[in-house]
Amino acid sequence: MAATTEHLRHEAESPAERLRTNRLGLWLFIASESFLFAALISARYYLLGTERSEHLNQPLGFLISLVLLTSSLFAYRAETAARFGDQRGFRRATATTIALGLLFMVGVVLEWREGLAFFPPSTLYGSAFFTLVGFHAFHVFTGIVALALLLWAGRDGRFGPENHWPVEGVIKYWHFVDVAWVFIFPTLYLVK
Amino acid sequence: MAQAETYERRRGAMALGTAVFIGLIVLDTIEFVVARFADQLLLWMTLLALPQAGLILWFYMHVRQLWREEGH
Amino acid sequence: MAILKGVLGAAVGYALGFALVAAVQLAMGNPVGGAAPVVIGSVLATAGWLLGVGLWRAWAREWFGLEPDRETPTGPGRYFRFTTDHKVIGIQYLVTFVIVFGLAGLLAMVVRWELLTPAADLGGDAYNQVMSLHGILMVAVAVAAVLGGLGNYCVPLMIGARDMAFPRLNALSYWLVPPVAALLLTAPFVGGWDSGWTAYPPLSVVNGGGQVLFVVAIVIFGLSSILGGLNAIATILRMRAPGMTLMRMPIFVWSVLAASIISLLFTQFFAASLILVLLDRVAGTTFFEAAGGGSPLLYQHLFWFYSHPAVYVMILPGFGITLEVLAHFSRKPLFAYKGAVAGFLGIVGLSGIVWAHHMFTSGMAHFMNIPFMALTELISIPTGLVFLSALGTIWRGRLWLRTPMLFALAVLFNFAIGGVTGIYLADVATDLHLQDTYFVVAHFHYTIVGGEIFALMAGIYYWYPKITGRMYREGLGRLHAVWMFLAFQLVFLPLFVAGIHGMNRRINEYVEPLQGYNTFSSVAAFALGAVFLVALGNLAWSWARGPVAEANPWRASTLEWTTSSPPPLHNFERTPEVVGDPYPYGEPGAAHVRPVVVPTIAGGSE
Ligand SMILES: [Cu+2]
Repeated sequence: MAATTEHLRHEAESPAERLRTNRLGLWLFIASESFLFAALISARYYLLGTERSEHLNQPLGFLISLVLLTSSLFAYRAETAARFGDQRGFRRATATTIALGLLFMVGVVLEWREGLAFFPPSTLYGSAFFTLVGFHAFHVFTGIVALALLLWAGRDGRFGPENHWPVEGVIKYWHFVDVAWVFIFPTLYLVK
Repeated sequence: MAQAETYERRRGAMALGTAVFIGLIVLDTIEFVVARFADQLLLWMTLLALPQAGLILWFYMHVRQLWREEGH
Repeated sequence: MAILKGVLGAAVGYALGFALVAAVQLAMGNPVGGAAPVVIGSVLATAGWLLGVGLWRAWAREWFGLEPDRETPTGPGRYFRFTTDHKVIGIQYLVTFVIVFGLAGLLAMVVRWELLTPAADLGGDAYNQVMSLHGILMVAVAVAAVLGGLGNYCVPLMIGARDMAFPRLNALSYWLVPPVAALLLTAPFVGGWDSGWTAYPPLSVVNGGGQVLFVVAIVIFGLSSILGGLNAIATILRMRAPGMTLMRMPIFVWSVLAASIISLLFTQFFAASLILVLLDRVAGTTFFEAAGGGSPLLYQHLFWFYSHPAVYVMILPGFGITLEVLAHFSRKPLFAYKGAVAGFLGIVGLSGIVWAHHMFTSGMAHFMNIPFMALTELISIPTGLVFLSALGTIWRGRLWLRTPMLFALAVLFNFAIGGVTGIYLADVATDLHLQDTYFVVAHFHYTIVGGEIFALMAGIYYWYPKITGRMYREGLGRLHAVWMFLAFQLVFLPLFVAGIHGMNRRINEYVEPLQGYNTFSSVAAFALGAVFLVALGNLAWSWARGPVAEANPWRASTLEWTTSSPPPLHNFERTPEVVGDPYPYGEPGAAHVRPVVVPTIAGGSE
């Protein structure tokens, strides 16, 4: 990572150095989490190959994918606004992201209700489907909680160009949850 | 002067976000349509999912900050 | 006090989780009970424990926009609190896992007592539970004692940092451990579990209720291990002192980095496989149930994808300590330093593609046998590099045979036997005969006890003066080393032979002709157990009453010896400046660190 000549600062780490360390830590966490999703996705292919249920609601899956991608756009806008010190823009975009996240969760509930009737967890496809979607939905849920805390803690305008690591960290995590869905969606809904 | 510059940079960043978003939507739609009509789906789906993940990682998550000092 | 609050938080969390699930069950018209309330209760109890013990005070307040408490507690009370100093956390890890090691060791004595004679004394169920608990507790010790204990204490000192990259995360990783211990030790009282530390389905899906607590405990332990690995990697990559380039790092630091990469990434597969077991039990999924189309083999793939690399989480830091001690006590630069580093990284790279060598006899498709055999045997190349480095270092060195050095030399001998016997298990043809026999048990104990635990002992004696500020009794230390070495050979060498003659593992009765090996091994095992009383007595007594240690009793070259014993809160009075290779012995004019005034007597600046 560091070139051989790069000497790392030691005493009273500067804010810029701390930011880089925080970023590295978050990326390591993301790498670890992607192994979790890799384990679950490979379990699906190991058990079922590319076989999938005939009763899937593909359009609904596509719709909630679009919702999640849109939420990523607003998360990006929230982070950019915070970086430029636009408090109003940050709050509005964060709130929109949360709303879209909740909408995604509603979509998950709707498809679970359908799914329970056609491929309950006691079937092989149901096992893979509910576990993968469930794990992912749990991550979305933690993301929503983190965004809500961000909105709450930032109500006094504390996040700005000088102090934006909390915003950046939470929003990177939110994007990662979106990346995971980019792979889960075709894995469960599309391949055949 | 400095204010105008900041404003420009911010507009640029927002426009980039929107462009990436359009790219994501287009890829996702293609993926959905292809899945309904094509064969060899595992290959197709991988080929269409990877650029989506790449767009998010590169532009939304600024992955290059890891090896470059300031890459906002 | 903090611990009391933690216990209170755990109680509240458990009640909350239990009530929550019970309410859902009532609302859905299902009978209240089963495993689900216990699972959610245990998870929330862990959260409540953490918040009570200090997470809320020191960290979580910040998430709500409140000001956290940044004060660093002092005095002996800090060892019982949520503290961010890596030295305190290192000692917390070490002491905790010494206790766990003792418990698991007692269970090993029970196992050997049952196997003293061919007849059953304990009964199969009880034996299986004892064997399972021994297994998982020892695996936990092997994963966390060196990395969490010595890694935490020494790595920041060795790279010239003030603390870890994420001190509060470090505290969190440690305080996740007590709930793990509590859950594992509660399990025997709620039905226990009898599926070994490997927890294979179908047994683990249908056996006693203790299996559920096992799963929750290990998932929590996995989280602790992942966060610990993350922290170590970030620390090593980001917190090094000026001049401390990667290739100037002491070899132990490299080994911690390599092991941490594995725990960061692969642990997720263990967590995933156990969570799927839990879902099969609680949520009615059918991942591992053949009747529902599932496959028990899937578990073995997921499990070994972590658990083979896990043995490198255990052994790599052991290699690191061994090479470190060999260099200092041979008074020579480490031979083929770059080769050893390449060996570590090569092992990390290969570790992820060899897992199915555990499955040659389990019904996996036959075409996979040969590739996995070949890949597994490739690992002998990077391991050979590490060995080459060790042998080259002691070659014509002036060996200073103090206690740490005796243990380090023992590691070389033991691991040679462990490594060579591994070849027979990696080879499909011989493995068909040896699989699930005591040959496997002996091989595994030779690598992990003979390798890692001996190295842990070397490390404890080596850094003891630095950590405690006092010196142990050298005579008793050497007695420990020699006695443990001899007893260890006598316990496990006969078990190779018993295994070749067909002695199965995980049984409490065996046929008459195998009694000789077993009785011999059992008696030797009691002698091996007894040596730890000597060691504990020596280390505990010296900590309180031993002679005060110098800053650098070994005249060693690396950074941790340039500061007082024990080091001050921020480790170094002035930021050290590294100017050369870590082991500049016998090279005129060479130095690792720019000459600093080394205090001859401990400053006791704490
Ligand atoms: Cu293995």
